[in-house]
Amino acid sequence: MKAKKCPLFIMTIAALLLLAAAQIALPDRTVSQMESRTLSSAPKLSLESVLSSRFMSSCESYIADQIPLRDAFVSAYAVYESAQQKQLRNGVLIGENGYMFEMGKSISEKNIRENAEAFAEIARAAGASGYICVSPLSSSVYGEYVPRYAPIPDGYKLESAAKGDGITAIPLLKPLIAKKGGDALYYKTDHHWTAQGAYAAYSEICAAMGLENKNDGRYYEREGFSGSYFARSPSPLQVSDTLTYFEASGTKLIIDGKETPEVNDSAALGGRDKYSGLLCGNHALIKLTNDNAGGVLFVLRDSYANALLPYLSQNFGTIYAVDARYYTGDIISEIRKSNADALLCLYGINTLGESRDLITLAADALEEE
Amino acid sequence: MLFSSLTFLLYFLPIVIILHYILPNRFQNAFLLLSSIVFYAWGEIAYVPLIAAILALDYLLSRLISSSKGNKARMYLIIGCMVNFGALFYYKYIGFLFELLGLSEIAPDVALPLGISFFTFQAAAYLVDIYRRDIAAEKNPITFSAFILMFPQLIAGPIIRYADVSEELGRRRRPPAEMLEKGILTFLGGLALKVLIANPLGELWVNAGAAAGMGSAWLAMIGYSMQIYFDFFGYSLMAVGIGKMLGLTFAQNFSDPYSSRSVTEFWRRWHITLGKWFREYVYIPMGGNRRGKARTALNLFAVWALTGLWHGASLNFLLWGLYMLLLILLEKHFIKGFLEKHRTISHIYTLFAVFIGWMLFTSDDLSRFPAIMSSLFSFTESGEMLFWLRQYAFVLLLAVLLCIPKVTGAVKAAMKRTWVRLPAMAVLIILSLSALINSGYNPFLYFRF
Repeated sequence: MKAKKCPLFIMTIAALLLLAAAQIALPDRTVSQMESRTLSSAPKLSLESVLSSRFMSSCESYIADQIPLRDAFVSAYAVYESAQQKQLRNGVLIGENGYMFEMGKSISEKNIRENAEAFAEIARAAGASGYICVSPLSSSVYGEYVPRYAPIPDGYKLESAAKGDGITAIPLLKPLIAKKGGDALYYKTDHHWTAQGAYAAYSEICAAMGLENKNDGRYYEREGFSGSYFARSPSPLQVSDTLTYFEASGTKLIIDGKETPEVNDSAALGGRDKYSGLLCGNHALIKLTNDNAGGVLFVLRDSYANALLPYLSQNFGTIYAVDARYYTGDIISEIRKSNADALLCLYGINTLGESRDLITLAADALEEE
Repeated sequence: MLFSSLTFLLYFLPIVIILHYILPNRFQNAFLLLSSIVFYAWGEIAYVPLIAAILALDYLLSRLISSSKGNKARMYLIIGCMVNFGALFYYKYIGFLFELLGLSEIAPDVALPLGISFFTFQAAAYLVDIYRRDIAAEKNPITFSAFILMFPQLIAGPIIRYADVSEELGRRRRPPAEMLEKGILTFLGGLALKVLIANPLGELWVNAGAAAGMGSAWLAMIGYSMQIYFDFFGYSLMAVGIGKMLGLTFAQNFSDPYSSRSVTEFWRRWHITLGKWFREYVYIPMGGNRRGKARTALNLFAVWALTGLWHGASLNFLLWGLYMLLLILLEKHFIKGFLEKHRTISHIYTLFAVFIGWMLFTSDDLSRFPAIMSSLFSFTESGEMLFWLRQYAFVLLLAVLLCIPKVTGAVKAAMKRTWVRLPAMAVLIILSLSALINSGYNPFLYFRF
């Protein structure tokens, strides 16, 4: 074989073998910062795993996850797709002005309705006055940045599904659209709202519940925030966000009966996925206390609440916040026990449209009754 | 294992190619067989004993056919056909048969072994060729098994005739540098077609197909038609390329099918080895067109019904085959002259006819077909098609260009120059690997067959 006559062959085989050798030699990474996820670890080789084909199927994802220069390959593909003028990468819409959006294909109106009805049932069973307040998708607020003709869900239609008997709905879409001229209400690279967006929602909640609208605390900023949309569709061409958050004076965070050293997890705030640092992430049940206020609020919520609860803690001495994804107890007796003045359902519309957590939570609790 | 998988690209391919190259001749076929078994077992370990059993029977019968004469040889051939087609029938069609009889509830639950449609056809052809004394039976069971199972073409063809590779299988294979270079070029080209063109267009089909509106429906249909071509063409190219790197020459399976000016011509350019197989082992043995009009009609009907069903065990495939026959007859008896005279119209007609055919082809659930047809001619559009068009405009444009023989010819010519080939292929390797690493979407359409 004359190497000069087959340069491509030599180059390709050498490159492939080099990648394979480097993969074997280099230590495995456990997480990808860029994609905010755990990477697959080496599959266990055993007679059983080979015979059941499990070994072979996990090999492929292991190799893909642990290939040397993985981040560079993923970035290269993102640049290639951007060069094609694509506005949809890995299921994430790439809009104008650096905004990323979700397609919302799996958001079902019916699911929202069922979740809202489940919440209404819980409120009725617990004898609490219920409010439901749902964050719209950023694409519903910032429609002008959404790629033209992209098939996204109708925000008003989704919002109108979040209703139930005997509970008060607090619509947000209209007021948010009215306020979008100022500071950004939603992040470009993440599905959550900013401190400004959360404050706008807080103002609506105050109006609906008859609370005094307070703004007695400090705002903080953290640069270099790349959120969930970025993690799904990372690209070196994407600008990052600045995380903004509010800390109310006097608010303490209690998780599992213990006060946390800080209200927000500064380690996570220093990482790439900064939003996960707010209120130290998502937990089954947290308690916020504030000696400057009185009364009790009980919240069923998802991660959107982490930016908003600090504002509400100015109005309530105690806030209980339950995340239905992790909570396994009897929610109705928990609410009754808390002597709550009000029960608030605080979610992102995407969670209500995709998960069935509230439905399951209600069904489990009503079975106990 | 898929050719377009990282396991194959990083580990299996380079290791097998290098070891095969340096091994002495007497071990080469054994090594080819061993790596083919690993390749097969990687995806379908449960069926390895079944494949081994079919192989053993085929070997035994090939020797028996070869050593006997007349009725006895004929009897062994019939047994051989029963073994191969029986296995194919049982694993692929038994569920469909029960369904036709209205007995789906008691149908045996069998999964389709990978590549069974390809290797049973190859083995049956081998037995027939021996019976016809076109070839001598291979005495070495390892060489025979390596021929039937060789991994480059095991799961998706091209279907290879023993006469075409027997000489190469029998001698020392240390491919010359030019053959290695051509092999890797062909392989990488096929990989790029599969990963960078077929996969994105598959997304277009799914995305635009889910949208309402006539424009989206057309876009989806074009996306699917391009996907199925570049998917299968890419895979065939990869097979041919790997074959070359192992010192084996396989027949090409495609020859610019979408440049055809009639459906008849399309079928001479699409999945060529399958078409030849049906012609050689079904149509001609049944008498072809030499036994009168009625018999010719029956023969054609048999060939096209079987061609349809070969692609899958459900009614839509049968109808798809017969739809093709209908068009071929229409062309032969009525519009042949017209098509020859009108160049543009003949291209449009052929693409339209073939693309509509793909919509039937993809409607496993037959009720989907009328739904697709009505959206193709609904004359309503929300504008959403513009969004999908923009997302895939670049890939679509590439795909369309690569359907034009002049373009593919120019690409091939350019690749002969080292200073074009090296940078171009380096970019394609990086992009192909990136695409594979980036996304989980990597189906292979012809796996079901």
